[in-house]
Amino acid sequence: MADPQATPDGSRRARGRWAQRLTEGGSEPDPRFTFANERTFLAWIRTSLALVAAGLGVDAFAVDVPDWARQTLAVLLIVFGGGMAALAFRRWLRAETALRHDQPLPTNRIAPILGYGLTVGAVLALVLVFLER
Amino acid sequence: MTAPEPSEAEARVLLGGGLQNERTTMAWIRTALSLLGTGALAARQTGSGLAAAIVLGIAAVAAGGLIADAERRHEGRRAAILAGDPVVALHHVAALAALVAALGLLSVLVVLIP
Repeated sequence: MADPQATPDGSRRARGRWAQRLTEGGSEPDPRFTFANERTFLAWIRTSLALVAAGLGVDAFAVDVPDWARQTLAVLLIVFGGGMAALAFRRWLRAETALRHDQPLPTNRIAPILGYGLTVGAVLALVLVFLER
Repeated sequence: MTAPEPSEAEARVLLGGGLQNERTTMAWIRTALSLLGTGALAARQTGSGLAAAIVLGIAAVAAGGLIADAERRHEGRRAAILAGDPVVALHHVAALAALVAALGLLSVLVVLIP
């Protein structure tokens, strides 16, 4: 019996709407590139988790600052982390699509967001510390 | 006596895809452990005994599931490379991103609700 998920070249096609969008056109990239893309995604996810953990840490240990300031900083860090997970998925999908179509990889927009975001967060934390003294 | 030359497909597994596959599996495991750590921190911040147990339980099950699945897929992907099949893990990637986003949402609630 023929494999319903098989592509014309004999390989299996992933199922689902996202999978269809991803595998439309192009050709299977070298598995090493797919693995590298996946590891980059995982590294961004770990960065997201670190931001969420940092937010929870601020909430737990920044006891000398007012509640509103502690909560604001904590929520900012956590929302930043959660949003970064969504952006990481989008980035992974775009990179995988580019690999399939043998196109240049898309520009990385997450790194500047992370850099500037953390800078703003650090300055905010510094201001809070000095205000409290 | 010399070892037989590996076929082209076997060489791909042994020299390229195989090592990349292993590093990717380890990256999934590290990510799962990070998820467990962040979940444990979120559980600690909930304060209440039952809520903390639920959050920690969900984090532990998610991390354990991710690790078990990564190990299972490690073998599956090895076979896929040999067969020339796709190794893309779309659903796992999407599920993990959604899980982390959900953990972020939960953590916001933990911070805002006294």
